[in-house]
Amino acid sequence: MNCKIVAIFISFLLLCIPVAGVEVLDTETFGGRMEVDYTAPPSTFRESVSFGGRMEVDAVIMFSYEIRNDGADYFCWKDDDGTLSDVAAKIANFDEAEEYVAVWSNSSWDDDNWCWIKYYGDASGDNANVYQLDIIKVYLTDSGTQTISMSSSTGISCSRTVYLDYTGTAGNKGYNYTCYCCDISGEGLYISDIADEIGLQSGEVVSWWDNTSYEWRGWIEGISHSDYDYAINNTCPIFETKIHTDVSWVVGSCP
Amino acid sequence: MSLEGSHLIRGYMYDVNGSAVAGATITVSNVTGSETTTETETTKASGYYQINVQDICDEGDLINIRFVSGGTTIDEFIIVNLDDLTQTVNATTQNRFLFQTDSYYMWFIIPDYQDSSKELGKYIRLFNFWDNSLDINDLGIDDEPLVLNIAMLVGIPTRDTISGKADALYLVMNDGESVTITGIHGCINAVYIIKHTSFSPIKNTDKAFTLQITLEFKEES
Repeated sequence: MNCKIVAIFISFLLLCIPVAGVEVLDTETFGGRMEVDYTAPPSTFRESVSFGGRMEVDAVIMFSYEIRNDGADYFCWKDDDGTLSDVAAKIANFDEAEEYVAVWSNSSWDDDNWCWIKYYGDASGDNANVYQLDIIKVYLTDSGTQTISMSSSTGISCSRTVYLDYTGTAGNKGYNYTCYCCDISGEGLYISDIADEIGLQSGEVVSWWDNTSYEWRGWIEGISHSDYDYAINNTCPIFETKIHTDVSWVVGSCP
Repeated sequence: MSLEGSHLIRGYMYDVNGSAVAGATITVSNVTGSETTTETETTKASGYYQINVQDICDEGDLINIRFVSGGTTIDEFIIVNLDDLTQTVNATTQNRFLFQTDSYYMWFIIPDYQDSSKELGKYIRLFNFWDNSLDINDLGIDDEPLVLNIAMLVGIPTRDTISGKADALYLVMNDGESVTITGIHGCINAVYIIKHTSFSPIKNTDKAFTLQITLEFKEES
């Protein structure tokens, strides 16, 4: 599954439509903006003038993510803030009453849904707010996979502090969900490395969502053997933690 | 039904000498819940395994962890409890011990080793009765009084099965019969008197019950 970052230079494309053969030399991103170095041959609008230079354009950062259509899957919300219906609108064939999208919230817990607030395919449930980098659980009843696209008009800060909640939510059994929001698949990280980064205590658990086999790969700090120390080989990996004390996790910097 | 997130069962399999058993097949199934699918895993070289039971149970379900190695099959049981970070289920081969009164005797499975230190587990909640065999675990095996917690499971709860065993234990208690326990790794070789028994159903089923037996030390056997 790929999580590609595609820069769409909307303003740039608009400029280029009447200018055939524009060549982009270099781009640099700064938060939500992008600078583009380019050259363009003479055009009918600028006779016998070759020019090169640097221009600033408004950029929309787009992400594509493949999800399964036949069961539960998880992904990180990298679109702008919205609601669960905005999430649902991005999913094809989201139309069955038992299908749902859900966001993890630390505001409530019940034994059936835990802290997942669900919005169903028949528009029932709770159309809760969804914020950038929230973890989305999706459950579909069709077959195969599909690719969903998210776009952010603002920059995404991958390095951040995540508060893993145990005591703050009445009844929470210690579960929390979060993600690395960038590609760490080539960094040689294992689940135990994530456990170290979080600072888990002995017996606490961090699980990585393997979106190839669609299962959680769990690491029990101080107990699991190396046989269960899986390499994290996907982009935008999702993590589930089960803790018994509140933890502040400084999610590592992206490469 | 299934859990909304992962929940790990983990532990070791040992042979009669306490050595790790590698390559044993572990199959986890739901006894009291509605799920009919199973999860499987294989013990590693250390005898260790861990397995996520998210898709096959709800909290409060009684699940069966079956260890198969060579010609040996061991059934262990546990009630899914999300209050625990993870739950430990160990197994050892040939692990029965004798629970003998003046008028009855029963074979129980000896308490599992908690870990590679070979200490007996004190915190595993469940003692099991699977058809005509008994599994046992310990909540205070070094303490007085000795408290045995037994979970009993049968196809049809009749006097000859669960109720019958419970009634037999009440009778033993009321008659003041002696109970001799031997064969728990040499930890207990003593004679006890039953001071108290309690009997109650397990959540969501009419086929599984818990039985607690409180024993008072009488003398060394």
